Amino acid sequence: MSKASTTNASVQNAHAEEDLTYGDIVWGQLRKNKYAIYSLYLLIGLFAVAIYAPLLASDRPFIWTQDGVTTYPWFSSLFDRNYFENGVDIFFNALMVASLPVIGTWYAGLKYFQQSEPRKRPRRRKIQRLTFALIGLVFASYIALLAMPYEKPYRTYQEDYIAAQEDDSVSIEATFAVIPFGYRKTGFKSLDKPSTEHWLGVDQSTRDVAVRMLYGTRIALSIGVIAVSIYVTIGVFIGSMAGFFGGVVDLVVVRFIEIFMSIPSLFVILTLLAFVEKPSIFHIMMVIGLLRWTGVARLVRSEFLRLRNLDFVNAAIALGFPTHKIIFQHILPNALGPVLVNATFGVASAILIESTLSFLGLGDVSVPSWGQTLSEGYATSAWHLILTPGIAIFITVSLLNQLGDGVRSALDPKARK
Amino acid sequence: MSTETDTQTEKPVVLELKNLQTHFFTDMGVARSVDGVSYKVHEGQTLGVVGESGCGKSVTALSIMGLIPRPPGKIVGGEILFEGRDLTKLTEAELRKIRGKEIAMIFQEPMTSLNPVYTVGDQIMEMMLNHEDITELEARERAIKLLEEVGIPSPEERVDNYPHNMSGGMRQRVMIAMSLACSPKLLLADEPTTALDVTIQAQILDLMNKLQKERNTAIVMITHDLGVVAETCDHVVVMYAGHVAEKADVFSLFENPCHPYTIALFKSIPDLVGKGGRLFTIDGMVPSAYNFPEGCRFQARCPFATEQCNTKPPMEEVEPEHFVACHHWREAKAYYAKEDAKEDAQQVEQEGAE
Amino acid sequence: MLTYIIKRLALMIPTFLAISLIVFAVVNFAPGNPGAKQAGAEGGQQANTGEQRESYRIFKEQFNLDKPVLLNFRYDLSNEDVSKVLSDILNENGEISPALRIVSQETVENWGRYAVPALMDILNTSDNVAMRALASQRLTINARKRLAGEFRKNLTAEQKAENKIIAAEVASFKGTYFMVEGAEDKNAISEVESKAFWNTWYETNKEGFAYSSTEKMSILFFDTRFAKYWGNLIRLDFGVSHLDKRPVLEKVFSKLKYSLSLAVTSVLLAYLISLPLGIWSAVNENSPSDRFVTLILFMLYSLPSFFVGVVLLNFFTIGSPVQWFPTAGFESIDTSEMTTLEHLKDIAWHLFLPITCMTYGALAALSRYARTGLLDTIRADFIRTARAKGLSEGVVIIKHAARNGMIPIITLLGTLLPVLIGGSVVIEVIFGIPGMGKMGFEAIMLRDYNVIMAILLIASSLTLIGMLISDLLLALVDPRITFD
Repeated sequence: MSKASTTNASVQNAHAEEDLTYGDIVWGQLRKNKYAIYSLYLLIGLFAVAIYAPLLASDRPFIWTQDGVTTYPWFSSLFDRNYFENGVDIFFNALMVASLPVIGTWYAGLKYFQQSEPRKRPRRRKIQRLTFALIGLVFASYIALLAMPYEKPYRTYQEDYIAAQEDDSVSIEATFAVIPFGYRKTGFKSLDKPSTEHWLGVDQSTRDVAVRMLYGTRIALSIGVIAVSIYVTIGVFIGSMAGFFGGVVDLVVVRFIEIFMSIPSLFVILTLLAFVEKPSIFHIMMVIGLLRWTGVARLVRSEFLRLRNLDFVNAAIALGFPTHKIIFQHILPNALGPVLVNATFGVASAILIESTLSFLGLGDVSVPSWGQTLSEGYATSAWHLILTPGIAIFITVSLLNQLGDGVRSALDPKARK
Repeated sequence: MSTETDTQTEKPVVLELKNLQTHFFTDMGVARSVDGVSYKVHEGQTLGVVGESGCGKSVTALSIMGLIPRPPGKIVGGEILFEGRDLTKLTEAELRKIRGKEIAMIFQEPMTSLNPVYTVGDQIMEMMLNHEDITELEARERAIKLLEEVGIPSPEERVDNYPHNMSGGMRQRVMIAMSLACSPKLLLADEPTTALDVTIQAQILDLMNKLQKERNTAIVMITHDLGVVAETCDHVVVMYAGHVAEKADVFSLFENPCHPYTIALFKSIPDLVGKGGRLFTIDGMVPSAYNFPEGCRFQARCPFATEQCNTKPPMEEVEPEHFVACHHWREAKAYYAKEDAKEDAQQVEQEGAE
Repeated sequence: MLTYIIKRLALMIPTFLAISLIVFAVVNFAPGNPGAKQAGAEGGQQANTGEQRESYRIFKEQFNLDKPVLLNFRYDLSNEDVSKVLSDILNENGEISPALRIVSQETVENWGRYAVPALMDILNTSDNVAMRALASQRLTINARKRLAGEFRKNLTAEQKAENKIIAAEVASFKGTYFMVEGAEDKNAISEVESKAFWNTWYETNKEGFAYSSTEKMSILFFDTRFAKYWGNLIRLDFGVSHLDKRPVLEKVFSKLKYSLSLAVTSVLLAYLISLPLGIWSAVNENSPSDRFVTLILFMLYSLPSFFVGVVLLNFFTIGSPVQWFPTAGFESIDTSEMTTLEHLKDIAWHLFLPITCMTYGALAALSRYARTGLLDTIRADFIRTARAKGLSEGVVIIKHAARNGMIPIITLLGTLLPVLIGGSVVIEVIFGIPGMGKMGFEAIMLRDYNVIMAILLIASSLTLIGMLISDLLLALVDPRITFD
């Protein structure tokens, strides 16, 4: 009988150590999917490009020494609302500046908690609180930055530098970024082909294309993420109400969703945007967010309808939990799986919509959107203006789709490896 | 079910498995699901194949039909002799002629085994039209007759029903009708009643017995339920982890189980009549198919295991037509005989006291 | 089955009405003043020349933009309301901003005949001569009746006769106003003459301005943009396009056939190719060729359609490197000479690139779903049963597996159609196909509201019909679905 009992004990021990949460399982499955994980890493890389874009391309030199006086124009330009007119740019700049200290603090916190708290769940909760605190800090500083006054004049550093090279009387030393242009800087040879000076050529409005591609990443990613956040929030709320309460609420919501889904959304988006005099990316985000919540609502509703009748809900009701707690703390985490998949594909779709809008001329003209460059390509038939933004959009969308596929497989209980 | 033990062995052998080996080659290793299984099925008789989940009984049946999914699975050795022909050597086209016509199979889940988009009649007729040269009208007539035979009321209407219009028991009857449509010589029944209610189970088993008598079909009844075995089988094969542990005719097995595993199985059946007390369990779990031990596969859970069990036990004949694959079956029998005697003595004492 | 169709069609009507409500809300409540841009385009913002002002006014009347959106309280316009607005226009103390002046101008214009009693009152009783002068000027315009038939082209004899009378009255208003001293205007007459004219006119027409309570109710609810919109809709009257004054319905339907041929062909092609492709892919799962095809399909799925369109346009048409296809258009200019076959070939030649653009995306998506659907089906129990019956693999896959695997893809048809209809906008613009999408886009750019609303409604109806068709197809293929 001895052999049998040892096998039993080891089995039990293994089970005690495992104790995987649902999130652990899903993440484990995702990690086994090579393509999905590579896409995730590449997407993080894309985010890094978006955040660190000014490091790679900026009008302002890092160091500027003129007449013996050294200034650092690049740093002061980061939060200069005159220079970076768009709130999105300031946000990403803030992220750039904050990234190292924040990541450092978070990592240090991680290590500390791993030492001080061996038990998994309390440790995770502490890490979670630290993460939220840091994110809150970043947002608070962003809002503070927005409120700061700005009055810096616009100087043409690059021209002065080049002129100074010729002119011996003026002595200027400067260190520029790799691409010494901003995305708004004009004055180059229109439709110039790619060269060593302009890596991806010049567009029809005499702006450097490479810089616009770099900064365009910020626009694409922020529109994707924010639009999706808006409509996921709306959709989850409405869907959970419909699925949980059923009856009249459900009937009304379902009819509403049906009606919304029958109207081709692109038309409505075009119409709404065309009526705004100068559409900004915030308008675009809002409009996309207001029209695409129906898909998420449908998903959440069907999940809720399924989960509502399970016993754990009855148990929660019997224990007297308040309704909102049951909906949001008990049922909702179970329903979020398909929503996550939908959201990932939704970011790709939002980026495509925004590019289409810019292509048709209804986007925000003051930001370097990829679609805008493509529309110039269409108008002028210049290959470097067609291929570059197209490939950029293609890569971003592919990565997101691949990740979405991976998340979907990871959530599928039948495909467990 | 014939009760004459003498004439059983004289019936011709319809199917004989000789040392069949079916392995699965996957990313996680080689699963040696069926590793040297031999048994015989006689014409018009039922052979029960008993064992826990994962012991390889279904894989054996699928190997006979040639339905093992070919990328991971492969028959790596042994012979499957059906009426003298070795099925492992046949081409796919030849196997297809045999499937359905000579050997038929019914499965465990009647709810999902029928195609939901075709009518019941269509699916039965398909079987016949595929193997025999008859007109559609004839096929339909025969289909209706078959439905009647399996006990489905109003067969002329039911023949145009879709599977979702029928209950689980009825669908299993349809499956039986479909499998017998071409009067095969051998029917493989893979746990046909496991998914059904107990009362329906009894009806289906009665039906199968009746049809067997009428058509002289040999049946391989795969099950984990010893009650089903008692009801329907003439011979029994007990499998464990891809090996045959014991094989005998049903009476010998029930009266005189010899393999420790078989004995443990019988002991695990809760006894409604005797005293209370703990239920008998077998310690441990079935080993994973990727990690079968060398030699006897039951050794990890067997109370009588020794070093000797690392070599594969040969088949020993206990009595005529009763074989055991165990080195220590005599010790096992002796031990349990003593235990039973002790219990009986205790019981007599108790009764005497009352 | 017929009752089911009828029931569905009947259910579509309230949905349609709700959609029309949303469309109305979108077009009328969207930011930006409808007509403001238009006014800018027609230069009518400032009180410029009388002609420009006039054409702007007619534009507003055409589209009921001078009426309030939901409820019309104008039967109750008081003297004070009108005086206030008039004095804002006059801006005698110079404190009113130009923007407010313009708004006031619009307001009094929009009031139309409802302001006449108050205007008469001001004309006769106001102390301020400038006010009186302005009132008289306004009267020449505000007192006009609207033409019958609302600017349609085909009017009945009655309507024409009515219009003649109205036109005569309008003519009589010419030159019946007076100006303040010092302002030069050839057409003006003296104050006394003006007052005389108007007072006589008002006497004869006074009853027209005394509204009974039923009339007031009907004005309140039915003399609004909303009511007119729905009233027109019920008569299937979508109004006229302000660009060329053609009835919108006729205009849109003439373009519909182009868009439909594009969309239907794309859907058919997509399904025809994706089904066999999905089957082949599932049967050869994980073979090198399957992996390659899956990769290609994935890439196609991620390519934005306008990018592909522009690339194809530049690669295959302009001449560098090849010119195999025409750069734009649905068919060549002189098709009257061609036989039907030649005509069809011509259309195919023109449409090859656009159809490719529309199809590949749908194809990629459908093939993926077909593949996964079929993979799931092949693992099902009844396939094992079919094999156990001795059927050949081909029959098993095509007869048993495919029919079940098709079911999830057919449900996709309902969601595919609105995507195609929306996506047609970009493709039609790029390839210059005169279809509904392109027309809608141009209408949006030019603020042609009637066309925009009509296209939104028609596109939604097409979607609803598409969903009905997909449900019917589904019921045909899957016997588990019954009509209740």
